[in-house]
Amino acid sequence: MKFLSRPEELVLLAVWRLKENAYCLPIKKQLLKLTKQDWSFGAIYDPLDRLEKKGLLDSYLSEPTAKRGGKRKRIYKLTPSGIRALIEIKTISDEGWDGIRLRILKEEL
Amino acid sequence: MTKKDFGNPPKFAEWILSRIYPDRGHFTSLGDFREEYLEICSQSGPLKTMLWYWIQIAKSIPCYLKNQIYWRAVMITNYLKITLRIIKRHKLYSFINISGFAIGLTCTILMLVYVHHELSYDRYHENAENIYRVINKKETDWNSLSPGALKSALVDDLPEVISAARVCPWGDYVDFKGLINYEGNRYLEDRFLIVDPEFLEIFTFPLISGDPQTALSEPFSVVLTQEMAEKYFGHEDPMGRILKFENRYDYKITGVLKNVPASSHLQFDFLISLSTTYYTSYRGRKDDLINWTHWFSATYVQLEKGCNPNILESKIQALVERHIGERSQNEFHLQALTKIYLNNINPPIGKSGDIRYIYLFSGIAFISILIACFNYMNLSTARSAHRFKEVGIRKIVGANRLHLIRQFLGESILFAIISLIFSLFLVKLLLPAFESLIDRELDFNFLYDSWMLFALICIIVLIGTISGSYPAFFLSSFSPLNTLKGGFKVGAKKSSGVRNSLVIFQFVFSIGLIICTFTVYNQLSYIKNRDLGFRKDHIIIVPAAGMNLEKDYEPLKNELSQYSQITDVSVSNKLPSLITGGGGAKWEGKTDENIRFTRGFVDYNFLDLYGIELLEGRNFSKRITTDIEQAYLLNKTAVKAIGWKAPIGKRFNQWGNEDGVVIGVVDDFHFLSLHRKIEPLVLSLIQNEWEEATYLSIKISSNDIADTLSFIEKKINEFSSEYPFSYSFFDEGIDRMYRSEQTLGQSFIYFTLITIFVACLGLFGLTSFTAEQKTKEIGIRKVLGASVSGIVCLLSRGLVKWVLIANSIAWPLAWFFSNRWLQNFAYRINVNLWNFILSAALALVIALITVSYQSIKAARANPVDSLRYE
Repeated sequence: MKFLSRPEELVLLAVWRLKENAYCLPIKKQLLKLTKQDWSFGAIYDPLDRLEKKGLLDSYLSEPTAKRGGKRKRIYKLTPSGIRALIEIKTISDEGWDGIRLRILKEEL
Repeated sequence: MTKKDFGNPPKFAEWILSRIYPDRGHFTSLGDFREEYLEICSQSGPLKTMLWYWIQIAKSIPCYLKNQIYWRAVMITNYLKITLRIIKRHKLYSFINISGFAIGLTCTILMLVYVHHELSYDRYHENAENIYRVINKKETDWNSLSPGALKSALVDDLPEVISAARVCPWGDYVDFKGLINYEGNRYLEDRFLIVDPEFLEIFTFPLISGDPQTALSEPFSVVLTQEMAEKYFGHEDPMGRILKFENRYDYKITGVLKNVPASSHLQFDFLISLSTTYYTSYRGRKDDLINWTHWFSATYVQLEKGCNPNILESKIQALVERHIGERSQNEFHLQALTKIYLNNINPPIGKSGDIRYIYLFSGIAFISILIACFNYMNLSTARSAHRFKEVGIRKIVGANRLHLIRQFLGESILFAIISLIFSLFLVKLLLPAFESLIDRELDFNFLYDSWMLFALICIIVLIGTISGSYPAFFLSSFSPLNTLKGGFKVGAKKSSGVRNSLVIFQFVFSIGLIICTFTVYNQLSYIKNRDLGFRKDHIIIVPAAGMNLEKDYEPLKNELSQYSQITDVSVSNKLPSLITGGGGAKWEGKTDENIRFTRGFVDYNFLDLYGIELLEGRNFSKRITTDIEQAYLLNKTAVKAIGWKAPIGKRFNQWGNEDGVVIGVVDDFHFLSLHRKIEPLVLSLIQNEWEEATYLSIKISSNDIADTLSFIEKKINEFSSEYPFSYSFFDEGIDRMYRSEQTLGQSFIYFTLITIFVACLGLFGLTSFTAEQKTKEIGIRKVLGASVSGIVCLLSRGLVKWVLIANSIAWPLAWFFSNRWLQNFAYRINVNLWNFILSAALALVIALITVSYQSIKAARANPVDSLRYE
């Protein structure tokens, strides 16, 4: 498998969580909640583009809405290989973290 | 405020964003920003949100710029590389374009240098914008002179006039020379001005030594230029030294001026204080320059800054009428200093330029550069087939039409820049020849002259754009599908219409110029060969200044006539080629001031010497002593103007006693230039007015002119030891009168040749490409039995049609312009139809010769070669 970068992982996860409403802004909010950091649009579009190129994401344009000044949304969806990638990430990180408690790490500080 | 007002980001900011986001902005990103904007707005208020939005934009700009510049640079290097390859590979094409542009640009630069020079006159004066000359108009005649008393009246009565100065030339005839004596050395000088002391304040003629306030206040003061100071005194200090003028008066040198710049219309070596004339008189009376009746001086005024000259003109008018106590027939005007040079009115004080030349040179430069542009358009569209593939590929790779247009425009500008480099060399090379052609000293240094540099850049961009616009538009219009499929023939047909009309325009210009050249040439030779009504060969003119002719004329004449080569000697106040000065006259008891009679004072044998024909009556006779005071000869025009049937014996006098009588009528001769109609003329004996004697005319036979001259010099020196001997040939003086016309004619011929050459270059290139395109057609025709001459005919047939169409446009234009030019002459040729036919034939022959090389080459080609790949 190909390894994903950390931002890509996070974006991919956010898209999966958002299901039907996965476009730039909600993703941005989701990431803010998770990482406590404000992500710029560029920082989100960049991983989105790369994931799409790798075939993990699919995108389509929604109908234009008045709220957005008549602009369409580009809505993203996970492809099967995207889901497989998520599974893989989950597996690896779960196995890697197995048996490690957060308390132990914090004591080392 | 409602929430809705802040619902949207500022329009302008959004527009900027959409600009720097060209590919994605139309869809999602702008929408994302807008949504985010709303969100932030509802949380932290509109002001903060606005700030946030702008910060986002500011952040994205550096990156955007970097990308833009980088990719532009990449594309420009690519365009450059392609253009240079084209120049290298298509040598004929590049040569024609570059040489055409280079020639056109050379003409344009020379024209610019010339126009710049002509417009730069008198601008260096510190107060240039506020200096005016008082001029006046009587009916339609402009006059540069004004009454001498006007100066002090202007300064005293009008607060707007800061200062005023009178300026008058010294000596009233054209080739006047003044005699200066310094320590036994005699010099003849001709550049004098008599001026008021204020002259040095108003104008910027800086003094090297002397006080500008007082230098010209005392009578018999003279200020001279540095050049003259060196000529007379070498390295010694000239201040306070005494020069003797005309062997009569001593003048003290009170100042030395820097040399007068060439760009001043007032040219002089010596300034003489005007107060001198109060003691010596100017034209005979001591108050010549201070009364209201004599108009001998020009008045220059310096006005307050911001003063409106138009309002002042009416004040001057009122002022003059108040002083002379009646309504003036003259209408007073103010002429700006910087306009004087190009519109120097009669009598001209100082140098004058000719605005006609500016029009002429601008016109010709424009035409030559336009023809070069047409060449470029024609050639680059004609050979567009070579570029089809490139255009197709570029379009497929993602270039849009704008990119391609930009590329082709850049290409033509590059051609123009390369040509500019060549033309700068050409200009350096040709400048001396051009200077001598138009008789000016020009300086060309575009690197130090920001005006010139700016003009050059503008011209490059302009001709690049004009010549590149059509090819760019045309080439970028192909659809990539057609071009790559090879269906370019369609495109080539479409452009040929435009191409033909461009060629026709080139012919229009060429034919028009040829016709005008013929007209100019014919008119000039007409002037040269026209019977002026008097003889002009083998006559030597000697100025009579410094001779006491009243006493010495008879002995001098006798001595001169002893010499076998001298056939006749006469004396007069003017020469028959230019007689001026005169006024009203009385006849048969009535006075008529409306007819102006020009007056000439002549000797008994004047008519014989100059071969002027006597129509009626008799010539002046020595045996009839009353002739000296009473006899008048009139010319035919004068008799006609009076209306006499039998003029002989009629009473007539001009400024003389009442017993004047007409003794004869002479045939009309051209005593004015051929620009003007012959006017009424009166001749009387100079023996009555010896102080008018100005010229000795000496008729010689053609052998041994050098010996004759030295004999004349010896004899003249015996009678006039004061003046150095000087002489001129009468016919050379006449030629000088028409020099400006000769220059015009020569320039016209040169520029016409250049323009026709550029047009021929283009035609040559164009035929070579058409012949190339028709290679297969010609091959097939030859196989089917066509002859070489038949094919040459086929290739040249279009040309004949073009020339015919061009003629129909060029003829009326040329007729109009030649006729307008001819209006300048009172005596002129008629526009000749044969010139038109000849020009048309000439244009056709030149065109056929130009294309013949290519068409014969194409026609003689072996069909095996041209059809081999079929």
